[in-house]
Amino acid sequence: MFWHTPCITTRKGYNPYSENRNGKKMRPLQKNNLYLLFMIIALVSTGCEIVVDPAETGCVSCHTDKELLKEIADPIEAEEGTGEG
Amino acid sequence: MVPLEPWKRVYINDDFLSINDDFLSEDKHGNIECNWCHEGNENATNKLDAHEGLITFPSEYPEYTCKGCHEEEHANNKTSLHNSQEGYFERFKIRAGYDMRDDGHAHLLQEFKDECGVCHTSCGQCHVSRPITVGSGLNWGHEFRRTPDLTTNCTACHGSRVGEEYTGAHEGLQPDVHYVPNAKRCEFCHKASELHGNAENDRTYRYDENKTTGIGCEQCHYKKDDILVEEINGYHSQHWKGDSGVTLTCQVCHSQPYKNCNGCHVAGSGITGSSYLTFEIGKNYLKSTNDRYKNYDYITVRHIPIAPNTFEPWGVDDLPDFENSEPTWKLTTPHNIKLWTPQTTVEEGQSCGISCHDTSYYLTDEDIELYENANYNETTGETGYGYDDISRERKANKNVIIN
Repeated sequence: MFWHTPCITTRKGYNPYSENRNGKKMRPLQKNNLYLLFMIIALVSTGCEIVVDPAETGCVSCHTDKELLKEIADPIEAEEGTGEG
Repeated sequence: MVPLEPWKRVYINDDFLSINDDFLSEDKHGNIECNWCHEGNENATNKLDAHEGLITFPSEYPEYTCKGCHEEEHANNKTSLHNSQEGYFERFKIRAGYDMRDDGHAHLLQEFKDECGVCHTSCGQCHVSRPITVGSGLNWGHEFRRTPDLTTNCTACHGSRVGEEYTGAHEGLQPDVHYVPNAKRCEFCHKASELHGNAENDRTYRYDENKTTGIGCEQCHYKKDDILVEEINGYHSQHWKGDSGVTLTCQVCHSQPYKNCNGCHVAGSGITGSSYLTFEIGKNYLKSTNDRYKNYDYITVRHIPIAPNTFEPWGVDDLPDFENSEPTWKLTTPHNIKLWTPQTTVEEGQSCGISCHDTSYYLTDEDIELYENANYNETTGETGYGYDDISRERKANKNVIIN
């Protein structure tokens, strides 16, 4: 199952009623923390199958890995600019 | 400005994510899952698949992203000149005689979007990343900042004139007296209310007077040692208060020479040639139409790169109202203010007006020709758009030229 920590859905900083253009409700980004670990242990022990949502762990795991990004980030074509204002 | 390295453009730092754990932090954006804003394929497990349908710049669709929490800013931003580019549309309209957004001009609108439209600014280009026009890239590891950065945001676009003038980049000229590296930044004078716009006040020109206009010099410099600014010295009482019968904007005395642009836009048509530094005082052509500048007789003017055939590559051979609408030497407020400038400096015992009166600072008929001939193109051997058009240029500036 896809699983989101319910405890942080009441955190400030996002609007849970806001929808993106696909009609998807705004949700909090999950964080790996101790609480999460205990929840996973608890869920597994009760027989739940945990499937990690790749969009939540995947984006961050690559985009915070400096060395990985140096290998895979696309070269850009942006030219030096001084602005036109 | 040197573009960011590819990896740095997309690197997310820990501070952005640790915001999750900081309930007191103002920036809550790290709380929101990535694909709510950026979409993409949330079930993918490799880069190519994950980026399928990715929205690189979510704030280009603010009604589905920023508006969710920032409804007021979103409403105001519709009228922001940064966002609407209404100034471009309006200037074209008054010179061409029609609005390019009207029916029948779809091709013009497309040309505009392809060339001029790239300078449109979305929320993210000021508060998250560098502007797209300079290669974009996350500015602070995806942190959202309330105040944009002077170098990587504001002067990334407003660099060739404002940025260079403000920082004293031109040889022989000094930085603006307000410029303190890493200290007083653009927001010192240009508040969010000006930059974001105001839903109740449509603007088509950055100097329009309304509640979103930036602050003026006198709002800080209204008095010194309990003496009002207009009484502080003879210059001010004569030319700011108006005892002489002639009033000047602050910049007329306190600006240094500034850049005037020739090379223009639209596939390089219209005016060609390089930019040049000059300082010109003109008559205030806005005196009867602009509330903010109605009290001044003379202003500093800057040459803007527009010619009757500027839009030729778009199929617009001529701007029929070119000489009957707006001047090509227009009001400017240079960002290189100094107390002592060539205009305010006199030797002891000399007349107070010797550095300004009877000088070449005043825009004349000859200047119009001089600077148009400065459009000389080394490659083609031709001047910018032909000598015949000088007459149209002169007519366009009839309310600015001082004879």
